[in-house]
Amino acid sequence: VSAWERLVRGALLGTERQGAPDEVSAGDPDLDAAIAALADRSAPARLLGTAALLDAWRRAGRRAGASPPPLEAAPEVEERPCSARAASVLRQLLAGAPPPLLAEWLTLARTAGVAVPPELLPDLLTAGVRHAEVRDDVARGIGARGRWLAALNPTWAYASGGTEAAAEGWETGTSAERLRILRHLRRTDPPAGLALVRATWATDEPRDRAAFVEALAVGVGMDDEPFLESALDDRRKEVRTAAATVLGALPGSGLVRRMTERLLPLVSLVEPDGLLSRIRAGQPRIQAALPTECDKSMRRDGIEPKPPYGMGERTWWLRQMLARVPPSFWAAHWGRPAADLLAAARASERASEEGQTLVSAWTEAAVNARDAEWAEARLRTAAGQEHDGLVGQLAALVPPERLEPLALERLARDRLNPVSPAAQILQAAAFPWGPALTRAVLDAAPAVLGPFDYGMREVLRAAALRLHPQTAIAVLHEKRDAHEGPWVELLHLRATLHQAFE
Amino acid sequence: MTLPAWTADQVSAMAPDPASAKSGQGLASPRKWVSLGRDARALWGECQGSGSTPYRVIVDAAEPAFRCSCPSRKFPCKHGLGLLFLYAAQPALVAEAETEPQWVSDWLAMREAKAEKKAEKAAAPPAEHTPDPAAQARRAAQREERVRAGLDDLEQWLLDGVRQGLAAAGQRPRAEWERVAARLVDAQAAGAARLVRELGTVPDSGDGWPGRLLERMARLQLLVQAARRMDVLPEPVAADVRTALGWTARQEEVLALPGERDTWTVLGVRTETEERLRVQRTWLRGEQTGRTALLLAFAAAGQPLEPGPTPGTRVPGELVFYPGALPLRALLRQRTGAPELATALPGHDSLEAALGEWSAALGRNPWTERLGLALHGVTLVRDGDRWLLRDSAGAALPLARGADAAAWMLLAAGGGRPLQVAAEWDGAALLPLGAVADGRYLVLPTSAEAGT
Repeated sequence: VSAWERLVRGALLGTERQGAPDEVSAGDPDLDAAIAALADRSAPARLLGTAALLDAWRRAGRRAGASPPPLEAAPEVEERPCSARAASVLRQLLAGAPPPLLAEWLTLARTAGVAVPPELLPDLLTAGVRHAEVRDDVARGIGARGRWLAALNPTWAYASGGTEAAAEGWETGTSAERLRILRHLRRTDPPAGLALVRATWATDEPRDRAAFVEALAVGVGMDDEPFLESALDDRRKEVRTAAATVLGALPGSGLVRRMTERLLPLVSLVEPDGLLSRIRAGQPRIQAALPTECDKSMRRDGIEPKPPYGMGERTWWLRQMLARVPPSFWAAHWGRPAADLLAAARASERASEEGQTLVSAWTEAAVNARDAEWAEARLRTAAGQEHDGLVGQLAALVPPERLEPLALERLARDRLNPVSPAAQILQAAAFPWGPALTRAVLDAAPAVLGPFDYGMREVLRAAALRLHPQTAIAVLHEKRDAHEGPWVELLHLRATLHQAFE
Repeated sequence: MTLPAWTADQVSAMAPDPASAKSGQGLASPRKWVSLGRDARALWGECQGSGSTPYRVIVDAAEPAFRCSCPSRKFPCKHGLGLLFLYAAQPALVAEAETEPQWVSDWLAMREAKAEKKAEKAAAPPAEHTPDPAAQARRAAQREERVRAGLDDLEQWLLDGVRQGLAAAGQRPRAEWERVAARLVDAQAAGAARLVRELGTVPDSGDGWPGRLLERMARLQLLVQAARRMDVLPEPVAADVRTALGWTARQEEVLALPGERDTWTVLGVRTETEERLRVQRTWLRGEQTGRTALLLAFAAAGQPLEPGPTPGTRVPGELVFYPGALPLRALLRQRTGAPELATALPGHDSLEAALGEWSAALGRNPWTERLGLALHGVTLVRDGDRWLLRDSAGAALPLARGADAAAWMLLAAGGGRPLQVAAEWDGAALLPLGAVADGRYLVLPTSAEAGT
C-alpha cells in the first residue's frame, strides 16, 4: 500500500477516530524531510499538509502509461481531395439539409473521383444512422478510409462493408435490420446473402422466411435455384408462394421450364391472314386456350386454385402461369419485340377476356422479372388510370438514360396531374434530371409553385430534389416567378452543390 | 499585408454558438450578397436581409474583428461569419477592390483611433489615477483583513473535514459547500471560492473520489498557508498565490510590463461555462521562445465572447505575461504582422517531454490547473471504452471522458497514422482541441456536438 493510499484511508475515517497519520515515508529524502517538518502540527493539519506535499509530488511525477497496441492504419485515400468549396457545401449539408442532398453530394463526388474530407466522415456516418434513406449512399460514398472508420464503431457497422458485421447483425438484429442486411448483400455479394438465409433457415419465423425469400429476387441466379426449389415444399404457404414468384423470374429455373411446357400448348401467336388482315391492318393476335385443371404439380409451382371474387377459375390459372414466366421468353419464342406482343395482346383484349388477362399477366411478369424492355414498352402505352403503384413499379425498372426520354414523351402527351402516368413516372424517376426534362416539367406545370396545389405537392417535393438546378433557376427567372419559399431555396442550395463540383 | 486564407473550420470556431455557425454557412452564397469586396486589411459586403436595406458587414482581417449594421446581439453575427465562410470557400468571389467604400474606411479609421487611444492609455503612467495613497492603503488593508478572516474560516472547515473523516464530508449536501464558497466570495477570494465549489462535485465523481477530494482539500490548505505568508514569499510566488485566491492583476498594470515578441501559433481554444460565466481559454506557443501562453476571455453566460486569435494560425505579435513564478496567462498587446495558416504545431516529440513541461510548471506553481500542449507523432488507440493518445515511443495518456466526438474526428483525419494534436492537459486526461493532418489544421469538437 502506497503512502498516498494510507493517507486517503486515514482521511476517509477521520483523525478523530483514526488518530494522527503514522510516519509517512514516500522514499524521497527531500520530501520525507518536508513531511517530518510538519510533526508539531495538529493531527488534521499534519494529514492535510502531508497530503499537499504528496499531491504535488505525485502530480509532478506523473508518467505516461504503456499503450495498448496501435490500430492497424487505414488504407491510403486513393481519391483526390475534394475542393474547399465542395467540403464547405458538405459541411453545410451535414448541419441539417434534407438528407437526399447528402446522397447527391456523394454521387457528384463519386463521378468527379474525389473523396469525402476525412474529418467529415464521422458526421456523415452518423447521418447515415439517422436517415435510413441515405444509408446505402453513405456506405457507397465513404471510400476505404470511411469503411475503415466504420468498422471501428458498432453504430456505423452498416457502412463497414465487412461480412463479419453483416453476419453479426444477421444473428442478432430485428427482422427489419436483417432484411436490410440481406438486401444490401444481395446487391453486392449474392451468394453471401443466400448463405446467411440458409444459416438460420431452420429456426426463423415463417413471416421472416417469406420476406427473406422475396429478398433473394435481387441478384437471383442459378446458384439460388436448388434452395428456392426446396422452398417450394415448405410447410408454410407464404414461403412457397414467395419461392415460386422468385423462381418465376429466373429464366433457367426448373419452374420456368415446367411452366412454359404447360403454356406452350395453350398460347399461340396468330399472324393476320385473309379477311382478318384487311380488318385489323396487319395486327397479329394472341390466342389463348384456358387450362382445364390445376393439378398437384401446378399447385406446387405456386398456382393458387381459388380465384379472387369475380374471376373465372381457369382464367385465373392462366394468368398466374403467365406471370411466372419471364416475358422475354415470349419475345424470343416468337421473335417479336415486347411492344409488338403487348399490342397483339391488346388487340386480342377487345375480343376476349383472355386478352385482358394477357396484358396484366405480362405486366406482372415484367415487374417480377425486372425486365426493363417490357417495362418501357408497357409504360409507353400506360393509360390514365392504371392500378395503384403499377406505373411507379415499372418505371423503377427502366434505367435513367431510357426513362428520361420516356418521361419527356409522356409529358408531351399527358396533362400533368397527380394520376397521370407522366406524373407517376416523374415520381419514380429518382435520379438527377437533365436540362431538357427540367424545362419540360416546369413548362408543363405553370402552377408549379402555387403553394395551394396539394395534389401536386408530393410530385413537386420530389422534383425539387431532381430538377437540374441551374436550368430550373433560369426557367423560373424567365417566368419572372417571384416565389421564394423552401422549394426555391432548395433549388439554389442544389445549384451551389453542383457548382462546387464544376 | 495580405488576407489570411481562413478555412471553414476556423470560421466555425469564431462563431459564438453552433446556431450562428449554421446560419453563417447559409449566407455563404453569392446571391445573398448585394456587394462584396476586399483589400489588404479588410473584407466587406452588403448582405440582403429581410429588410429593404442590406446589412453592411466589415471584417478587419488582422484580429479578425467584426462590424455589422444588423441588430443582432450575437457577436460575431451570422453576416460576418457568412462573409468569412464565403471567402473561405470561394475567395475569387470576394474580389480585390481598388478603393474601400467610405463606410469601410470610416470604421477602420475609427478602430485605429481607438487602438491608439488604448495604447496611449496603457503607456501613460498609472500614477495619475491614484489620488490618495493613504485611502488606497486603507482599502487594501481592509480587503486583506476580510480575506484573512475568510481563509481562517476555510481552514477550520477543511481541518474539521479531515477530523470527522471524508466519508462524512462526502455526505454533506451540496448546499453546504456552496455556503462556504459564498463566504469566500464575500471575503473577495473568488478563486478560492471556485475551488471549494469544485470540491462539492467530487463526491459524485465515481470511484476513487476520496483520493481526489483529499488532493483538492490539500491544495486549498496549501493556498491558505501560503496566503498567510504572502509578505515573506518571493514576489512571483506571491503573485501566483494572489491569482489562485482570485485577485487578478489589472490589465493596465500588466500592459505596462515588458513584452515578449515572437510568432505565436494558436494551438487551440476551449470555451467552458462555469458558474454562469463563459470562460474562453486560447493556448499559444511561441516559435522562437518555445513559451506557452494562455489568453483568457470572460463573458456572462449568453453574452458574446470577444473572439481571440483564430486556432490554427500563426500570429506575429507581442505578448505581455501576468507576473508569476510561471508566467502563463498573457495579453496580446499588439500584432506585428498578418496572421498566417499554421501547417505544423510547435510542441513535444514525446509524451514524456510534454509531461516534463507539466512537471516544471507544477514545480513553479503547484496551483497550475491546466496546460495547453502540442504533441507530435501521436495516434489514437482504444483501451476498453477509453481513448488514449499514444506517442511513437509507445507511451500513452488518456483522453478526457466526453471527448468521443474529437476522438472519432482524429481517427478519421489520421486514419490511424501519426498526427500533431493540440490538447489541454489537466493532470489526469487530455482534452484534444485541434490537430494537424496533411498540413491542414482541424478544429476538434470539444463537447458532444458531433459523432455518437
